[in-house]
Amino acid sequence: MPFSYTTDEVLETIRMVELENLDIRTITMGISLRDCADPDLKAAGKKIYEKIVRTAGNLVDVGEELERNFGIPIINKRVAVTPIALIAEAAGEDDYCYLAQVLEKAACEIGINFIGGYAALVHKGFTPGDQILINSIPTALAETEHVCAAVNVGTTKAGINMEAVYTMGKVIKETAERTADRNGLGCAKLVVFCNAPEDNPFMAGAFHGVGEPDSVINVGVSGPGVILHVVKNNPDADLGTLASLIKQTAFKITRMGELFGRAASKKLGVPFGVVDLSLAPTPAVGDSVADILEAMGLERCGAPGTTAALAVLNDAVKKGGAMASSYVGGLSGAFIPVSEDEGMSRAAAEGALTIEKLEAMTCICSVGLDMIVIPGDTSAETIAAIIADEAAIGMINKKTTGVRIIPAPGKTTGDYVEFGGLLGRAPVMAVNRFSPAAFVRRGGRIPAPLQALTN
Amino acid sequence: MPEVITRDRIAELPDRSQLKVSVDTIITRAARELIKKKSIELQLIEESRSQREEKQKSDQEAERGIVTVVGHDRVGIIARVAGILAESNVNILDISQTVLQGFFAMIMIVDLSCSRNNFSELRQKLEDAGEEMGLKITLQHEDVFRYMHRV
Repeated sequence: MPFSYTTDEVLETIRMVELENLDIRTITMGISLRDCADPDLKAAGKKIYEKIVRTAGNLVDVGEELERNFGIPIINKRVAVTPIALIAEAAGEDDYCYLAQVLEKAACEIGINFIGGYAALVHKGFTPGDQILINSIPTALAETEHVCAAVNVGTTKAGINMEAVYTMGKVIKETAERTADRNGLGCAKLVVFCNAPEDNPFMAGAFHGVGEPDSVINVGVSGPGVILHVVKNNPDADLGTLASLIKQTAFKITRMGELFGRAASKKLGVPFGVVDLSLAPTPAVGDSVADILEAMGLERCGAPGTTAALAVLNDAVKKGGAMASSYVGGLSGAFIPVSEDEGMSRAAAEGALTIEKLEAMTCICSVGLDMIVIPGDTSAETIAAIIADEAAIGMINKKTTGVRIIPAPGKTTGDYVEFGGLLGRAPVMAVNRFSPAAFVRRGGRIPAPLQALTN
Repeated sequence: MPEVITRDRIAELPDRSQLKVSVDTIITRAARELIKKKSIELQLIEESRSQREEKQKSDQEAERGIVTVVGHDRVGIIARVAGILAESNVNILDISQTVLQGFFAMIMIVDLSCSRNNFSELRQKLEDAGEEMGLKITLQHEDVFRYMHRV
């Protein structure tokens, strides 16, 4: 038998795992709850609990087995379910918090890190069930630990539901106040989307879309540390060469996602959905997207040139990743959260990175304004307007954008807020002080743009 | 459909009782913690022939691993690693070794199909031996390398 791998290849893999934090960020099982609707909310809850526990009962065991076998850690094991508003609506109740408790209980039972899908899709308008769910979000997030909520307020095809945008401004404020003792932590589990993907494995925005099968395995890869190493080792490469090197590395990282997805799918007897090509940072030193941008030659992330550098990085990751996986989906782009990325957090604290610059960066990469802490006295109208800006970027550019913003109660610009664990820490960032209130209060629906007329 | 054992089910059982489970029973995390706490004994129901055959089939698949040893060169590294592998009835298919200025890197492709230890146990044994000798020894499935470096 010829020796099938070169020493360099083997050592490269070992180095990625041992030194550069190569890991699988998440294995997320999507579970359809469409067969769980019931006129009696308690009965629906029972069906939901049983279905989640039955379908994902050994998800954590299988995940740990794969970690041991392949020697690469999986940071999170999660479950995403059908948007609860769709399921709960059949019941004539006026509060769905009970179902959030059911999801929490199921998550604790099977030992997963998060459960997503306390969600509503209202990009064109609300049904009564959507309205009830959205109103219950602050309570649901305050009373549970593992449940994540998402609301889709716009799409390229439908436009932006500005009533929903304003409502979400108020919901975010209330969620922060309900979790004031934890610096508004509830808001870290709430995303407002435009063009929300149906197969996103990443929290807080994961839900199981209506076009998905009964259950499915989606994988989110990580690996900023691995890309950082490549960029640092090539300080003199021109940007075309650098893009090519990043592309090759992204290919290798994504192959691990593909391997884990296929193995998990086989072991669990659940179809394999997609690999999400996102570069997801963690607060660990060296596992930062901001560090990559700085290694590309910026003094600090946020300096002029940051958007261009991010465009190079994001595009190269996608090109390499797309070749590596048979099915790519979810968010698939570099994440630029502030608190979860040590480098971003530092850049924000030093004044290099502002919300406006982050907004520009979201035009060319995935996700949106993510894990940004703003002063607690920011008005609901201003938060709504920030959401509207992001949604507009998503709508016009036919991409996903989201807002996960935390108005930390009692905190002002320059204070530091600590969330702990993977959520990290961040300085409170300044918000433009001029008011958008009259614009936001107009309400109505922003019409779908010309980009929607593709038929 | 496999049976699912949840925490609630375990809560109903008295301490130190016995619970019959089959190979494919799903025991949730929370249930397992409580089983430990209440010292409940799990009894495996004899598996049916078809289940056993299926299990053997899946066991046979996982078959090749790659052992890497990295560190300062010294006498007896290969002997020690090969000894551990031989003890576990693991066949060495190929070895490649380089020494660069006293820095030692060895890569072995091994056949795990007849291994007496399961993958995690073998991995642990090798890692422990590595620590003793001041080396970094890893064992990984060949799939990791095949996926990463071959299309």
